[in-house]
Amino acid sequence: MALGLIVLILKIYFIVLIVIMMIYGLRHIIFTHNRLYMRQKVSYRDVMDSDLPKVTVVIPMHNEEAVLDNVIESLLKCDYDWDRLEIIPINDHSTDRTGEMLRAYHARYPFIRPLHRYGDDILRGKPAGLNDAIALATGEVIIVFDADYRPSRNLLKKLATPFTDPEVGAVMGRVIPLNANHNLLTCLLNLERTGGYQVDQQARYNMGLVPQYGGTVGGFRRSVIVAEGGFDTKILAEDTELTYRLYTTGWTVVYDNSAECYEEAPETWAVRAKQIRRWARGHNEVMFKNFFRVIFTPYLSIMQKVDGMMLLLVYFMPFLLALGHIDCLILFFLGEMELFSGWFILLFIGVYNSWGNFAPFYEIGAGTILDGLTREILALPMLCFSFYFYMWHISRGFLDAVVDRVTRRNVTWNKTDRFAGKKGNGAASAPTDASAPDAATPAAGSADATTAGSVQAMTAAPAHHENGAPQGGQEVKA
Amino acid sequence: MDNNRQSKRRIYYIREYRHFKVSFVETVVFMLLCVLPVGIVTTLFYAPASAAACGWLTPSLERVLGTPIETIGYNFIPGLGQVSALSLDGCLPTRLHAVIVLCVALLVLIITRIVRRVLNPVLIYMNMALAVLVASCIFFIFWPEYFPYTLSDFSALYMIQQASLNILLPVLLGVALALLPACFGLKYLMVLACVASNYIMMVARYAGFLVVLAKFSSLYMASLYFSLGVLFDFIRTVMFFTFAAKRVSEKMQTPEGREQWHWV
Repeated sequence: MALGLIVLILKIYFIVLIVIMMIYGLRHIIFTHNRLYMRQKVSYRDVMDSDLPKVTVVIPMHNEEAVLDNVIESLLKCDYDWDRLEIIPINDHSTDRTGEMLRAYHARYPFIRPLHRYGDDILRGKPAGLNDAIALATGEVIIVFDADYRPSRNLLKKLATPFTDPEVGAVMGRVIPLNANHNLLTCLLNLERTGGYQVDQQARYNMGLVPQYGGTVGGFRRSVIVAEGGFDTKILAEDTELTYRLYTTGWTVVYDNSAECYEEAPETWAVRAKQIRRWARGHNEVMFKNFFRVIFTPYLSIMQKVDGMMLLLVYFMPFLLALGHIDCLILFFLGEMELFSGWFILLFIGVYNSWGNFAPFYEIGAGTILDGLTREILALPMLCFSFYFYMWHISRGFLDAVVDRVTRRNVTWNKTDRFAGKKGNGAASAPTDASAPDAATPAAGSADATTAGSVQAMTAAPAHHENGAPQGGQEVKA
Repeated sequence: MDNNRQSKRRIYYIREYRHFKVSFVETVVFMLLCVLPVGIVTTLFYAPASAAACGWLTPSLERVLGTPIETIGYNFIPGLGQVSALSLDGCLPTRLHAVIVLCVALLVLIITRIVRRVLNPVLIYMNMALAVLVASCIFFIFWPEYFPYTLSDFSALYMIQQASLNILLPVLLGVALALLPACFGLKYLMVLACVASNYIMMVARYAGFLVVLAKFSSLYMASLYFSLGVLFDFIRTVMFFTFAAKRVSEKMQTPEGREQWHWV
């Protein structure tokens, strides 16, 4: 009797999982078709310069002496009026020459106002750093970049323009790996991001669903975050958290597919594993907090709520799929597989169709066609194996989030390894003209772009308090 | 000078918001003339296809295994015939065999983790296959009398699985190809190639599985079923899609292909 009940539960779980996967698969078919064939929604283009808001660019930094020149110099070359521009690099407990270099920049350019964060009692981490920077910022719009980015000349204008619409709470651009051809991993990440940004994000924007703010190459309205009390420092995925906070309070998020910025994708599986596990942990923390808020908010339409919930669950599904595989194994050893031997295929098909690697293979294929990629797509079949990699590490991230929730422990931030500085070739280089057609340039974007830019995170180890006020810039002390 | 003027006559659309013009007629025609017929044919003919596969394999396997093999029918879709599968004697592992394999599998798992703290996708996949083997070993060590499948049962399980795959995968590929702005001929060719390759792999893998299980025991049944099956059929399907997408992408860079882009 008990065994019969267990078998029944296992079979029901199996069937429910297949249905969920089919729904995700259908969702991505719709997105792919929309992006390939339907009218595209263009980000705000026709607003005059004089209407542009004052912008504060925030750049979290921890020991970034090797790359900070690149991002600062690139920002200085942007075609945004300096009297409407403020740059706040956050020097977060750096032990190299980061602080000294930032002070030198402040001496030459007063609108570069470094924020130096030192002290044992100063809370580490990107959300905490952003909160401190926002408190000091004078810009109406906060734009966040990672230290290894190199924005193109017109990127700030593209990101700032939508904020002239009073309903816009955040804007997201497109993240493209510069090192896409470095090795197989970076090539696969490039493909994922091609499907994610070029197809997934743009389609969601076209259809008025919930394009996501990804934490970098994007900006948000300062007044919103101040009114909400700042970022939640207990959540790793502060960008996803902001996205849902905006949507559930009536704001809009804009996605600009033309606002491209190059980043450095992880070049080793170890780094990628840490990154994806952190993203999963943070995203699931946001899911626990916002799932019912999304359902009951009066500010979203039914379709937006459905899309929002599916997006929230995207880092939970791999855990369910892992359980599904175990489910199949148990059914096999119980001799109950015969009925489902055909359906097992549906599970796998549904799995890869719907979730796979953040974007199903047909979505990635569509993205490569739109981007004019011809060689890179040959790596697409290798993504089949990545599914197991992601299932393993994302499941661990989900379990981390569960433990976080139950034990209410403090999260520990770890900086993602960077490779550009080690190679001595500086940070990712942006093209001189981000709008130039370039079929050979690798295009990318994180799919469901959760914490796509959260490359920069701070170690939680205690540091010594820095005595003496720096020459220029601000200092947060214990 | 005239060449320069000519080359500047058209400004090609950049990737940000370009797209294609939808042709519902072409998509519907492709679905009706390719995907639907392929789905119907593979569904209607799974019975004779499986019977043919069994017929081809029986003489060879009887020679290799030195044991009589017969073909038995199993119900699949009511009213559409039975799936044929080979019925032959297998062998169960001894406890010692299971223990030895368990130790080797665990050793490989441990060594893999020591050598590489973070595994790449292929190694993770291999580890998962080994984990299934470990589960199978444990089962045979403690509950060998409860193992639910004879080799004939597994044979039936495999052929039913393949019948499902041979129906679903070409349809899946067809639906994915229908999304692409590719010519009808290319899409049709890819779907047919998928059908053909499915059948070829079905037969080849079937033979391999039966030889391994008949000669070396049912200990490896779970591993073979879960680890060397669906994923590789899927990879093959994606490869066909990849080929088509690459051709489309190349074509869209040519002067003729560029005419097909639309803006916003």
